[in-house]
Amino acid sequence: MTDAKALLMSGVPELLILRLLAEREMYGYELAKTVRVLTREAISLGEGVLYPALHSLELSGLLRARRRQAGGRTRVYYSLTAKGQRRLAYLTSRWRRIATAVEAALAGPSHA
Amino acid sequence: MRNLQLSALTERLLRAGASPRGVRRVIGELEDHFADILRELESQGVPPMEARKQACARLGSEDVLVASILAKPELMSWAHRRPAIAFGLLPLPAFTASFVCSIIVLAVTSYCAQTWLHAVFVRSAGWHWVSRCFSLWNLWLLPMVMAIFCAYAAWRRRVPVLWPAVGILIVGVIGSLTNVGVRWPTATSRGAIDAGIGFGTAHLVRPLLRTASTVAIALLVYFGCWLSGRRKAETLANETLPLTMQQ
Repeated sequence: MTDAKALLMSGVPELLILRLLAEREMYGYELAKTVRVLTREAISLGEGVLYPALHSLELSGLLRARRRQAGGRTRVYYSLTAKGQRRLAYLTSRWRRIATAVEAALAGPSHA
Repeated sequence: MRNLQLSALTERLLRAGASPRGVRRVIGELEDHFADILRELESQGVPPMEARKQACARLGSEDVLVASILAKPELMSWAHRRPAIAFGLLPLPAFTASFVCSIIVLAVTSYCAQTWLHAVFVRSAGWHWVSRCFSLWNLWLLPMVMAIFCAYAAWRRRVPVLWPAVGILIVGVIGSLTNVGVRWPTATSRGAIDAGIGFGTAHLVRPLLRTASTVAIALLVYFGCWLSGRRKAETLANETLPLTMQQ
């Protein structure tokens, strides 16, 4: 069951992170909170797991991080790079293709 | 919130081979995140103990976090994966490069001083002091600094002592066999910097002393760091904390 869930969720955190950061730069907590609100808590990632994912994307050149003072505290803000934009476009089109295909399959042969 | 959970997590990640810089950063961001969740929950009127419990649950289990880091090779330490190369072999070329660099720096500095400042080296007590410092640095301090750096870098990545000890020994032996001397230019002759490697059978005490002191001090640093880390872990383990990140 866990494996099946992992398979379904494969690539989703990356897509969500890139999509949200395409809007504006955010720090980790803000990003986790936005995911929870936007997905109405349907997607609940362990929030701690967000950071390895962010660091990995940064090392791949998809994100850039910078320290910024906010509310008297220094936070690490993440934003999308040009390479990240291209990756987001690719992942989005792939996701839509798969979602359309699954929807068609779920609708049954009579709708074909 | 630097407490038992995060210290234990740091230690676990380092032992598993995660890069020390990456670990420091993840831990720092997790601390901030935890504090933010606590603030959010407490502002909603959740009691502090319950808020801590919920915050831990939201961060996820330690096992999942460790697994998510270990699954990403780019977050792992290269030196931890290849300790033989990083700590057994690399210290020697690093020492050689530093040795050559220090000679180049002295040569360029003395050339500039002679050309532009018209320094009279042979009569200057200051330049004799410089040459003594140069010898002291290259013959004693440089191998020691290199060996200590190797020991510290290995401990930081929680690499077992075998390969750092090999690297330290190589730097200690090669460092003790190097010779360097400065002859300052005079009115009739040009100056020279002599450097070489070798030893005379009649003068073995000095190189042996240099090797022994370098190896002993570097290993002392390694085991000192290791002991202090262990003591810290024991102190933290004796503290009783109401919650852990484990679910």
